[in-house]
Amino acid sequence: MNDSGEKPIEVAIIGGGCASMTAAYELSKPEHDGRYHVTVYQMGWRLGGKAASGRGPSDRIEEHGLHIWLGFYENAFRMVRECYEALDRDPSTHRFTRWDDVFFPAPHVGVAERNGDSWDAWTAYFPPGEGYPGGPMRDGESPLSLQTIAVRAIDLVKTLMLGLERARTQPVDPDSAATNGSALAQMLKLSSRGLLTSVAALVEALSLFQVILQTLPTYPSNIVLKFIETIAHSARTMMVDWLVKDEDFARRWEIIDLVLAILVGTVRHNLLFDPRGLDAINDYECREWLKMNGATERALDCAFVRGLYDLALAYEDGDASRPGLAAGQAIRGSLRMFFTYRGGLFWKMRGSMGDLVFAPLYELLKSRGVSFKFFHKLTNVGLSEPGDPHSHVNRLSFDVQANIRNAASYEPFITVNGIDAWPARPLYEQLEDGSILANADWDPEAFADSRSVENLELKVGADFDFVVLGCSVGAIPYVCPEIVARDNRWLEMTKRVKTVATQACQLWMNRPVNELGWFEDPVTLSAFEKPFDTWADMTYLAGEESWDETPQSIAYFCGVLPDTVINAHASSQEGCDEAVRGYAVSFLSQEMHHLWPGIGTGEFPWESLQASVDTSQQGVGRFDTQYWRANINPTDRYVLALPGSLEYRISPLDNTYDNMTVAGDWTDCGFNEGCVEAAVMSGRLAAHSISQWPPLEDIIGYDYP
Amino acid sequence: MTTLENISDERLRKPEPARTGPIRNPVTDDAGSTHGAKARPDLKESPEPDTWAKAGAEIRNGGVDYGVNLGYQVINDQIAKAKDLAAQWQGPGVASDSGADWVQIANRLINAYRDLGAVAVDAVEKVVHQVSLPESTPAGAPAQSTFQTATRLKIHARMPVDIDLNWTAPPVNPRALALQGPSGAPVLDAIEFLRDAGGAIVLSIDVPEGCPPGVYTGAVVEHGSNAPVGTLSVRVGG
Repeated sequence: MNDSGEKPIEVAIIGGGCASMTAAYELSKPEHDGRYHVTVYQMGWRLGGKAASGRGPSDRIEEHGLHIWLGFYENAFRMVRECYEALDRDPSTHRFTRWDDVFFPAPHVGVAERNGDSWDAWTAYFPPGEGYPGGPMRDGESPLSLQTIAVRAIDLVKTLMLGLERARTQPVDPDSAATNGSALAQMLKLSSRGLLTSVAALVEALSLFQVILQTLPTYPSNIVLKFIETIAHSARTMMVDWLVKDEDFARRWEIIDLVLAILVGTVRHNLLFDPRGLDAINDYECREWLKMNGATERALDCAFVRGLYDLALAYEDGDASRPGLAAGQAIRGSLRMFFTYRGGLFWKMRGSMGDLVFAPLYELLKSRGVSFKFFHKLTNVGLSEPGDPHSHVNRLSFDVQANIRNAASYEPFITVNGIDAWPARPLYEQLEDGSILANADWDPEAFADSRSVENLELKVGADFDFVVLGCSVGAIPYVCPEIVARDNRWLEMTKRVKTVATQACQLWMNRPVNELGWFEDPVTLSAFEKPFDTWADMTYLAGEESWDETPQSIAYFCGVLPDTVINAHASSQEGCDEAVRGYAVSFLSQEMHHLWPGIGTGEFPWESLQASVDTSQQGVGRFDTQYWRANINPTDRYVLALPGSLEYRISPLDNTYDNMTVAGDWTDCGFNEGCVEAAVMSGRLAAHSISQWPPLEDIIGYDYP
Repeated sequence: MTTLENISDERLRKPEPARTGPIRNPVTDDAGSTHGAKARPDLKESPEPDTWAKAGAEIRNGGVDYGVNLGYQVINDQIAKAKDLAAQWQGPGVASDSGADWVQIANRLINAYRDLGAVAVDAVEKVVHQVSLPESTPAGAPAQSTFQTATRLKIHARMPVDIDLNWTAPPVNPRALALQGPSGAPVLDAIEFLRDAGGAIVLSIDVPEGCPPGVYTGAVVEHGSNAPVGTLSVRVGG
């Protein structure tokens, strides 16, 4: 009975990832007065889904990949803020008592650009955006209207152009500049022909376009289109003529080029007034759409664009030759990322996402009465009889993967440096037959694992009233065979909403990163060579681990893993892990010297790797002391936003099955791209579909743009 | 907080959703609330953060294309004409004499605004093709209004709404007179000007449900003196 003396409504939540935990968080809020009792059913020993983490040897953090939050993750940050506030931890005994104890801005972002046979790194500093993510918005304002964002985008273009103008006015010896062939010299030369005056005119024209954007219904759209096309054409004419040889200036122009293409396309496709908003162009591939709106080939292949694809792991079947992003969602994501971020563009965590997000959520939810059933693997979602006018879920089937000793509840944490932390393997000693399982290094997260000590069937009305299906779309064909067989819409979703396998590698080194040859600020860098196109300097985490000798630098790498590799190894985890090991070893020896010239060309200096287990390993064998993984489990595969696929997603608000809702970054949740924010939005929508709370208007970014 | 739609003796059902997808276009938004109707900002009001505004000022000081100035000028001119028209509407006897003419006048004003705006755009379009400025082009700021008044909007409406607020003098403690609408429509009078913590003026408008579509216009005056300081037009969509 709840506080009101009523029998609570039983909600079964399947899975413990971001979306599921968000739904549990919303439904267990004290404002509901105990109306809902939530039980979370989780395969294996830990929460987190694709963001789960564990502590390995030396308490080192072992992640599925790289988890960086973006400064526009308003819903996700808000939940974490509220979670820490609700926990009300004592700062004298806890190191992490507030959200900003956990997160810090990471303003340095880099991309790598191929330069002949080598690579150049280009880093940029993004200044703090106004406010902090998850904090209150200005009353009565929506910073998310496409018009507002477009005006900010034009500001960027104007600023970049003004930067060129300012460079022109700096006192430079024209002769010396001409000698080294810099763009500045060319600009000085060209200024005598008056072209820079045109830059001034373009900036002013853009200012006027900002005014026009805010009054667009007033002007005939064909004239407005012609106007912005004229601006774009004039700008590109200059770009091609006199900036192509200077890399720094060229990069600025590439961004100008892309923003102008977005503006042209926004007007041409009437996106400001189309009821579908940016979704109206989701059947186009992003590069294709930018190209049809005037973007140059150079801009389309620039490091900036490649970096966005890399960060979104946007390669169909993991094939680097098949990049794919739905244009509307890609533009939405880019505009939100660059023009609505608050605080920092990127935010990093002072620990793992498992320990600093999911462990506190677990603690809070437990205190609210949420039940957790670990080692429960869903095998089927049973439906009511065909023809039932009220289709619904009438049973849930699970394999119980292990029994807890003495019928106790599983206590999932170890303590590391005073905080609750998830171990990298189950705490076998709490399980029946624990020593046997430990000796076998049993991994209940491996999807192929079929260990089952009991078949459990839950019945509607008796064991649950509502279901939140929060496992990832990659697993749906396996855990919902009945729905997929009967419901063509679900079948199409599983075919069209595709996922991609990923690979990750983490290095702990006994040399500081500047000794490796990187002298820039700690960076998150993308658009580098495949397969590990993204590198993040995570050295700051060393103090959170328990090393005898603190590592001098820590590096995380990630990228996609082609399905061809998985097929070649018959989906064997061991085979794929071994393949990833091979890629990593090759990548470190053949590519990393481009970013870390201090390691020299040739064989990677394996002795620089800090061993955590077998310190006797020498040569390339020392790599085996590091951490890498192939994320090939259906539940671990990253969700793509391919063109023409988003309409097949199912909304958490869908009521086809009147006692079930879906949750995850694979659903139609308003931000249809794989990320924490999408998952949290989806979880909030799932909670709304059951309890009508939170209000849809309170889910930031669900409505426009 | 919530109610379940349910309900049979056997099991519970989710409530039927009010909608199953996002509202992507603020102009067609019919959801109300703070994510509802989106007003058109005052043309004089800079939407730019300070840093951007400063950057814009730098370029303006460095020499401004004559044609772009012309574009701004034409826009300002037609705004001024709109103000004049609005002022005439406030004249004694006009509103009460011929309610039917109101709609015509409003339509004429909107059409004039649109046409003149197009002229401004055309003018600038030609300018963009110019490669260099004439030597004799005078430098200086574009012809924008002589004062800036930071204004924020709070709108409660369940239908699309356009706001056109024009200051003719710096307001100190403004108040809006009741806005007269189409013939037979009730006036819009749930209008307040407030000051937020930063000193910016906050215009709060509540458009009641069932409000007939049309243009509602009125004057903004100073408290106490009743001296006119601006005009306010609210276009309510159907």
